[in-house]
Amino acid sequence: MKKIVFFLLSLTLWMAQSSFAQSNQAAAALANQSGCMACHKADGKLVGPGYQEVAEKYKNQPGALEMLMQKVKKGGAGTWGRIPMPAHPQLSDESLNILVTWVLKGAPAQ
Amino acid sequence: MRQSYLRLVFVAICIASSPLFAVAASDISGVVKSSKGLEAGVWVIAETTDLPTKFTKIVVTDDQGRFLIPELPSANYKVWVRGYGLVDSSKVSAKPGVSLNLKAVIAPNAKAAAEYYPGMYWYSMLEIPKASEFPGTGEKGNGIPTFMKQQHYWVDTVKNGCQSCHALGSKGIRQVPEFFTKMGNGDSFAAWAHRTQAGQAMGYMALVLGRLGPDKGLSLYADWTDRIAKGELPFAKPERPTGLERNAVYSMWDWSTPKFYMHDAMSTDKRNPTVNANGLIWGAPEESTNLVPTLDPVKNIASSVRMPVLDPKTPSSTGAPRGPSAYWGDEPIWDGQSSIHNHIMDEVGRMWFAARIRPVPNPDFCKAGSDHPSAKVVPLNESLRQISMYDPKTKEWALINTCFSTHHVYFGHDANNTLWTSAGPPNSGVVGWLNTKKYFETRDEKVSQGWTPLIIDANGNGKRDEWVEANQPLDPNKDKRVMAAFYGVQPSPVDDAIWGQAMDVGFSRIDQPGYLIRLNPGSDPSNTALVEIYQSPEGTFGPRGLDVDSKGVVWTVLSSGHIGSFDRSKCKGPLNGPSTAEGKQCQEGWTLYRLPGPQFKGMDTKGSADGAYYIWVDLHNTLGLGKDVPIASSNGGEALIAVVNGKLVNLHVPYPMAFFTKNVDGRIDDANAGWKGRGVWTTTGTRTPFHSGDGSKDMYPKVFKVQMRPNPLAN
Repeated sequence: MKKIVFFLLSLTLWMAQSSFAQSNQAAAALANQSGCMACHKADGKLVGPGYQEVAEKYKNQPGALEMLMQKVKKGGAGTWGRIPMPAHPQLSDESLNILVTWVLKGAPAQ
Repeated sequence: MRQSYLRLVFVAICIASSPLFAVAASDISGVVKSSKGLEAGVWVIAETTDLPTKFTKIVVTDDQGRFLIPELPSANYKVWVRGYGLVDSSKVSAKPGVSLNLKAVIAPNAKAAAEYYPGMYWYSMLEIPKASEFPGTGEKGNGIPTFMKQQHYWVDTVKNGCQSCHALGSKGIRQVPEFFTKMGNGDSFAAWAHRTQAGQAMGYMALVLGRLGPDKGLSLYADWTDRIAKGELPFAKPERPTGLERNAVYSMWDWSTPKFYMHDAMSTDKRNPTVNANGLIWGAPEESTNLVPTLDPVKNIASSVRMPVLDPKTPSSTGAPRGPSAYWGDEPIWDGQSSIHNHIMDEVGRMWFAARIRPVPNPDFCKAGSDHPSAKVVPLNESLRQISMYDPKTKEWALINTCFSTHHVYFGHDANNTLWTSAGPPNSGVVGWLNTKKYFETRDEKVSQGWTPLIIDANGNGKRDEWVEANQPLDPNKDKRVMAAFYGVQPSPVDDAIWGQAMDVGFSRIDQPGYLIRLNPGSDPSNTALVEIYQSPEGTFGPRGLDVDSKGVVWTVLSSGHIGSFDRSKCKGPLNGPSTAEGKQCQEGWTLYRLPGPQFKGMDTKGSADGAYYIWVDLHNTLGLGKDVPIASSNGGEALIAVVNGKLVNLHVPYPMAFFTKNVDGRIDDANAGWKGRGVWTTTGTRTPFHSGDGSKDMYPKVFKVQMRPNPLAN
């Protein structure tokens, strides 16, 4: 019985990891496709801040997801220096959710 | 006898001093005079909208202020004068067959005069970080990224990153639109940040800014335009055309639409420029549209042909991220899927394009595990552009799925009519080709294509062996790969070599100098090709584009502000072996010509602030300056610059301002018609024709034809 429980738990964990990896890959692909990576990279500033710095700044901050979704959609300036972030009105709420969720995780590749 | 002689002298003086002289029915002639007297070396411009597409012709006045605009189609023209030291004259209405006295207007002050200077006179006012600021110390240091190791990395970036798409220094660039100033709440740094986010090239501009160090780059550009807004003027002045430069005739036609832009125009087969005599001129509209523009220069009709794609999921510029434009608001003005970068005509008039026909991932036959001979050597997973071909006679397209990426395409001189391609950026590390003879025999794209990595014979045994990669140290038993994929490409007309060129840091974004590259294909190119690499001389940098003359001498342009020629036959040392792996051998093969105009302040004046996009060698004297004359596309000088007997001939195109072209192509329409039967063709190559100071959203891309007369009054 213990072996079966252990097997099922392992399977669930593996499936969850696999699913996370897939969703991270999908989010990274969406970021590429949407042009995010022209200005950002995971680690360190390019034109805009690195995603890991963004994740660190908003770690455990309630409402960060929604606030950042709005910021990506409408654009903004001032938080990360003088260079403004342009608005991205073409991104759907679903895409924004995927992207910002991924950014808040530090933009993992896998 | 004495009386007759005096009479003859009197008549001669009268003719010479007469403002008007004989004119043919299709010409407009006359004299240009200002309050200071006769105006030599100024441009006379005749323009009409009576024809199916807008048409303009420009000539230069001779040393007595006389001009003759030849071979004008019958129409009503507006004629006016532009020149250095002047402001535009009022426009005079005229029809062919008349002579005119045109009144030039002296510029009231230096500022008014400078409005007509080529962009580089303004762009040279941009402050370049001092050599002592390199290598950069990063975001928390001097704002210059640490990977910017030398000053020339920065200069190569502002030229081959920014100036490769924009006529920098032109009015639309040196003045920041109020739209952006308002967006930035009056802060010019923020205004520049917004303007570099405008339009569908935002992603690319961000990439370049990231290389410069965004805060440093934006600060310097903002400082540049702030100083100009406060009244600072160029520190140098251009000279009026002299000598041969006064013999030029510029004709131009509108084509495509003001929202689109061109990369290149093509008229004939470079190997035989009598192909397609008097036929259509073809454009390459890159990211802007799938509509390939055409011009019938005989009937003055502009039209277009839509290029198809193989896969409807082919990426489109429509979806590219973009910020609002000062000109077009939120409208995505480009809708191109086919990314038609460059093209070439074959011996029967078919057009071959470097174009995108499908999404990036390659078909299986390109990848590891494939039995394709080239894939066995270097499997390729991705291709950004492929090849498409259009036959104007059948009006049919062929979409040819290549594993390698394409950027420029040129035909070889071999029996297989091989189409050699470059890939642009270095990332793929291969050079690809299409055996067009086999392609027409089989219509099988898989068996007709091949590619090879670029391998230096670093162990010097004269054959290709196993190699170490570009980032690995030399191994005495192995060859060495160079990470390049050719930017410019040109098969040699004198031997089997394929010459190519790898871009410097500003474009390649890898820490590797630019090279000229000679590829010797061997009997089985995928497995036998070997390359030699050559760096330009110390103090110069940044080769861009190349061509080869009929003696095998290679010509390139350098972002250090030079035209360079490289004659391999002058090399004294070994051309293979470990000492050649960095490409520093054979400095004796180089000859340099400084591009005219000012240098950026504080930089070595052996160079120039000018940047040229490409160079083309006139193998068949299509322009009229001689066989083998190289012609550089001077983007800062807004000119074509030819090297004639070691001297530069500066063919500045004064109207519309911000002439910016990426290459030329020469054609002979009638070998028996002298200068009238030949000319070189080019097009508006800036991505933003609307930045010209001579127009805005109404500014169409143009086709330009340049001809050289025996003298400024020939008709």
